Amino acid sequence: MKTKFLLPPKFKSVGWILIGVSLILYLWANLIGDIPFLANAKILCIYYSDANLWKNTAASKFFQLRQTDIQPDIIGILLILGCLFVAFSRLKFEDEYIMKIRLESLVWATCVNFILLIIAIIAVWGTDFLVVMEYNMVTILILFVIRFYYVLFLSRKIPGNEK
Amino acid sequence: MKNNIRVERAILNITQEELAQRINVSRQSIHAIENGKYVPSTILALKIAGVFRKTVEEIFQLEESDTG
Repeated sequence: MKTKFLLPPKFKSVGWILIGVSLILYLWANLIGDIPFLANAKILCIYYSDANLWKNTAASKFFQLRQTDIQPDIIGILLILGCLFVAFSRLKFEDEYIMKIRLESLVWATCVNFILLIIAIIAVWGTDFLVVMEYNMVTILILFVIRFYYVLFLSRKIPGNEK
Repeated sequence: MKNNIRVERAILNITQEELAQRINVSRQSIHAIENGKYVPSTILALKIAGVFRKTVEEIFQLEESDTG
């Protein structure tokens, strides 16, 4: 079956590798210490602002070379790409019924994700809410992957009354 | 929508797996269609009917709940 927007099946393993690498980097940065080359990298910032939540006399600058910590950026990009690859690579056998499960799972994941976000908005106060938003960048994809493969798993272990 | 794929399969003496292979879909699809959990596309319905050498109407019939 022809499918729009889905990646070739081998992207799934690439996705798992990217997720693995991002988790290793995350643990490294949090348990061992700064990752060389990433903790103090010179990069081109397209937009930079020294604003924070408590002062609004911020100076915004465009296209600046800055020495900065890009660990969270790299970890975040790898994790998002990995999750996207795992979620949206075609199964080896993708037919219209699988596509239906895929679509339903995506709707389900979107709803659950935003219900959880609403609960978090009500429940979490202070700057820790930023942590919620960080996790929320990928929870929709994680929920989708869990739901999609769980329903596939259920539909695969059909009892043998097929005759 | 109801269907008599199970009966037709029994007449041809083929399993869900064999039917799935003949029309190039997964076995889960055949299982879901047989149990009324999934309504196939027109293309798939025509393919299924083709395997049994019957018309689509002979395999698939509307139910009362479909005529809303």
